[in-house]
Amino acid sequence: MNKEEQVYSLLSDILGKDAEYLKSHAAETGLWDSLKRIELVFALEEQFEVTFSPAQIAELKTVQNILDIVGKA
Amino acid sequence: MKERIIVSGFGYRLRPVEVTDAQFIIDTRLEDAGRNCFIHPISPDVAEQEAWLKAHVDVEDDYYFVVENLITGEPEGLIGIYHRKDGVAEWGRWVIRKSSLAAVESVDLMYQVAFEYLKLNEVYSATLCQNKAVLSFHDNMVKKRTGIIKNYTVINGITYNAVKHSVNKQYYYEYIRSELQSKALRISERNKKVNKLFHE
Repeated sequence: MNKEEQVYSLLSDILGKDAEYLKSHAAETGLWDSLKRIELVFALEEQFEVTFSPAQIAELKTVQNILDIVGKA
Repeated sequence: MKERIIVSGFGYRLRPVEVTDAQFIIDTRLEDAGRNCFIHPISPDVAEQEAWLKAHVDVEDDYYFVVENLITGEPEGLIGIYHRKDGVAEWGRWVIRKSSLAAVESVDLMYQVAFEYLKLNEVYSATLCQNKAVLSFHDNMVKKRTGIIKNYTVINGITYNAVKHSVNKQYYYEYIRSELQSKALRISERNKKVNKLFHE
């Protein structure tokens, strides 16, 4: 799986939405709450062996934001 | 005089707001435009906020806290308990900076203040029906809604209903505390790592 596919797979597991739904709502905010956000941070950091900076945490608002940040990691 | 309550957790602590927090309160409440439609507007004028804080400091049964990072000492959010009556109070004024992961522990510390310091029997939150992200948080944490508060508040001339989530002391200890604290512990361990990487 490439990085994008890994992100969608991980988000799908945590958020309980299929990848197609997430792709069609990639630019939307509000897909997760504060509890889910923390799960996402831990899972993404573990999966991609990164540590997000506070500035990056602030940017994790949409699926597209996650793809952009992980893509640069 | 109102008791000055400070409570520390794994990675964060709650301490009472002070007049010197005026700018932080303004900056935090205005930080996210998308969120602002669900909270009462705040003036960006520091003097007005300072005046509100000076008037507030002695109001009984109203507790307003700054959420502080225990490692950096920096404020990262706000939370409050108010409308206290007959062993029940509302909690809210809950705003966390976008770059922070303090949300989970701030709520656990609020519950500790409510049940262990203020000896309340129950606390409830009132979330505007349109505020889906916060509603989701409460639904996932509390897992049950108590009801709807009709005509809960007016913001910018629009009247909103609110969803009520109530938690009593027993429910907190049995169903909520361990999940919040296990996440809070993990976040605090991450905070130590982040501090080394980005601040040292």
